[in-house]
Amino acid sequence: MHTTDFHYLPSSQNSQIFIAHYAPLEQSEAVGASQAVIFVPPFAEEMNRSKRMYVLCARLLADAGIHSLCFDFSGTGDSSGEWGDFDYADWKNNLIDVFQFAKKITSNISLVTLRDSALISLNLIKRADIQIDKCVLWDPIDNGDALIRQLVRMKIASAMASDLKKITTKEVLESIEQSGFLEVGGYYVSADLIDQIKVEKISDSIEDVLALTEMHWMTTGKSNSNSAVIPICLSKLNLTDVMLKKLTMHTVNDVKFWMQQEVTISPLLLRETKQVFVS
Amino acid sequence: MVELEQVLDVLAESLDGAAQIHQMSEEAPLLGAIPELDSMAIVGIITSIEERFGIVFDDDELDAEVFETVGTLRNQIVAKMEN
Repeated sequence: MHTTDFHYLPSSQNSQIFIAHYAPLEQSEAVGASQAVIFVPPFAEEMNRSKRMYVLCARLLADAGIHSLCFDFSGTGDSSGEWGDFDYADWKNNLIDVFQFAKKITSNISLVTLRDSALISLNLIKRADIQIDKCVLWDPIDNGDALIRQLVRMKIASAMASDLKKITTKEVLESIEQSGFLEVGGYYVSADLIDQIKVEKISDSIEDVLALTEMHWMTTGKSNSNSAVIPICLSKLNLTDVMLKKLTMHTVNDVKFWMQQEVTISPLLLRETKQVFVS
Repeated sequence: MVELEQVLDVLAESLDGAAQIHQMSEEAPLLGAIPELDSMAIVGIITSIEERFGIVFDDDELDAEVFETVGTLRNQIVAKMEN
């Protein structure tokens, strides 16, 4: 059982961050000491497609005795402001604000991320003043350049799917240069924001993060084999045995819910995530 | 060699709600015939193909003709693997 409280947290960017706090009614023996989990939203359309799974997972954890926090970045969802008024630096600060909010509940704080929100989250964890117990990454994008490539491809695919004239990557990039933004699925991504995202890489943070935080890298897909292998972006790094002990790869034979047009649930991913927090 | 079943596996993964993917033939139409095949699904399919078959598409190689039928998609994968 749990209760749900809604908060508008004043952010360091003078906006109000919407937070839904799913609070357990009683302490659970299986969970042990008090824990809080922050669900970090991904970017643009994937943010919309993550909402249902995030809420279901938050409720599941709250029922198991864990405080769970779902929030919207400034300019998105139920937080105040307009999408175009904020950038990646603002959203990083939003996450710090939500972390400080969670710290009032407990000092044992973990994160759940989806796709590119792994990039923002790992950036947070490597800060000296932030302590994160566990980080669960759902199908992470390992670098910002891949996210931008995905957005450009979506623009091209969108024209393809709607029977419009074929557009090329070169034309999309030229259009960004001329207009100063890329429009994908109703989201206007400024050229400045693109530049900020492009430089983000998991490999830049991972060694610092694994020194401090237990990481669970979850890859979904119905046709996956059960062998969980270290992803290429990590295999190129010199991770020590101590770091590798903190990294657990999970292969989850469930649908990639964030890729589906209709709201889709991945029950096995929910179960796997719960097991990370509830022994 | 790229088996039809391998292509259908990739489609099924990205189009979970779409019925009967595994019953599809080479001639089965894709774009315009499957409502779930939106821009994000197309990008998901392209990414899954790249990961599964170890190829990288130049974005300019991708157009509506590639996604016309299961067979045209399979032919594009085969052509890319042979290059």
